[in-house]
Amino acid sequence: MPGGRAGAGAGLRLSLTIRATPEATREAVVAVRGLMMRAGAAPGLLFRIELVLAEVLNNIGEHAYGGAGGRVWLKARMEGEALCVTITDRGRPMPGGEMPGASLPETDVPCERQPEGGFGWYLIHSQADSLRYSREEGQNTLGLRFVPRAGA
Amino acid sequence: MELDSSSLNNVQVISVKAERIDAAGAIRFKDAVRAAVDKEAPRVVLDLGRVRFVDSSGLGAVVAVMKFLGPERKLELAALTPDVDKVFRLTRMDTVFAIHRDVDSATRRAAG
Repeated sequence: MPGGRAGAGAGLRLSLTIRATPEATREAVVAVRGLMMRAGAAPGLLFRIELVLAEVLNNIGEHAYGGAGGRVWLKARMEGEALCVTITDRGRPMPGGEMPGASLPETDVPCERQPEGGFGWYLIHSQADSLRYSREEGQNTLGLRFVPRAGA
Repeated sequence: MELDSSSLNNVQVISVKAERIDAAGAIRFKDAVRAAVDKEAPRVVLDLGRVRFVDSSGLGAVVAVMKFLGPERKLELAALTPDVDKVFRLTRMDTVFAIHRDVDSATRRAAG
């Protein structure tokens, strides 16, 4: 890779303010993906970024703002090879002041009891390389890091 | 959401003509597929060949369609693109659905 330690997208900085709606989330994740793709990020990294941002932003719209479509601030920058994303909202705090865990719903059950939800946080935990949540002065802040993975 | 439907060898193939099944389109997807399902078809294959992205809401919508078909008729999937395939594997939903490499192999199996 040319440029030594500086990975794809070196110098990339992004700052977006969006409404927490499914439509605005779609636009935002497509935009971030496009930017990272033009910056030369590998397909596996693009997948992880697109999926995690979609899950996080949709959770904010659905749970933090309860469908009211409040504002979300998204900032992204490269640190070496890692993409660091900070997502802030002024909605309700996470339940119990903590991020939900990484458990996957039980799928070894009959058809009629197959889960239709509960996959989001599992996907976020498994596809982001680090996650940090804080609640301060009425704001939720989620810090995410994505590092290119071998073969993905 | 636009869908194409065709039948071959008693298999109904429903092709999704959208790039994304995400939170913004999951309900429309669910409603459109439910409306398109042929109640008489013994097998229903959802062709996802044009779908590039599925999030957890889209995944939930596919599960909802499977439940709509009931326990007698399993919803089968075909032509998963790489990122969609990953979401099914990561959530172990690849163990819940029969997944065919492409529509041809899904319909050929019925004939042979």
